[in-house]
Amino acid sequence: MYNIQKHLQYNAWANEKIVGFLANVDDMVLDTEIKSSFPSIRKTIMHVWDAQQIWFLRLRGESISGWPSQEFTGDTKELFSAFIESSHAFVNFIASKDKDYLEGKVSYKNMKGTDFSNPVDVILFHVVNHGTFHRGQILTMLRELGFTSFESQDLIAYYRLENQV
Amino acid sequence: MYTIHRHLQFNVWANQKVVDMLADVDEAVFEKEVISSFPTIKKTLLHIWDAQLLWLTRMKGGKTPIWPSAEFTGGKEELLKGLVQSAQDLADYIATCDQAFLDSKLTYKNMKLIEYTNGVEEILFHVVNHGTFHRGQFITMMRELGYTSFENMDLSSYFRLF
Repeated sequence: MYNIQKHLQYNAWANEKIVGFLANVDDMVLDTEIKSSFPSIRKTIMHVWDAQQIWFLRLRGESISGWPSQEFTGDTKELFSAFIESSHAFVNFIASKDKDYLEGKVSYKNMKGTDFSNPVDVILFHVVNHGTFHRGQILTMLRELGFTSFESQDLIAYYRLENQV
Repeated sequence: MYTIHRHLQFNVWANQKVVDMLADVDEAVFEKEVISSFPTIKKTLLHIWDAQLLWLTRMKGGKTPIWPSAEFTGGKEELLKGLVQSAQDLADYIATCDQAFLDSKLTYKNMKLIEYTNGVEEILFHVVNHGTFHRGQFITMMRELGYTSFENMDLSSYFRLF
């Protein structure tokens, strides 16, 4: 049986890879305009962070009416730290849940106030898949900006490391 | 319960979205150089196809196949067909496998002939995740090439989560 908690740990690991890389580059790199789904690396990260926060709140039955990152005023270091914290929050939250919870549904209101009910496990797989999509974009954006050497963010690279432990 | 079978169907759907987006795109766009992990849209899509075919071959116990990226000489239609067909073949094959196989481990050698062992289900989730990563890059590359309108490929769209 596939371990969804490990899948969420992978998400935190992959986000840490990105943040670890960006911690060593100039802040300017994050804000340089590049054509992508979001026009800079910082905005791409904020979008991934937003998605993580919104779905995490919904899992807890809370609903919000706006993007969480809009109220964020911190610097880069604070952004990275909040982003990583939100990635680990999923892992910790799920650790205390049983199979029935994961296979059950959670109800929430979307940003327009409409009621929705969706399967917990699908939401979790969506969050990770969504992050991976945009992490791929960040890699391409970094390459556009002249960076050429990266560590693998493949899920199988994560599992190979896990197997060594 | 969300299963690997549904995830592999999602992978077919997402690759089909790529195909739909490219239906009216000029063949020359596939060959235009854009800085990314792979230097053209064509090579990016061939890489996703490669991975899907490689892992299906390993699952079946076969030897490393000839890479589509190494021998491919076809045009746009053939490329897009191969991308979706390899995703469909993987979903179809795994649909015939029982849970005991999914729970088992697979030992294989990578391209550098280093031996690894991973759970079958871990590998399958990897294949989809790998495709998603490069589909994200594909969208950024299309934007670099001036395209601005795309279909959503999120798992939440596939499941109609809002």
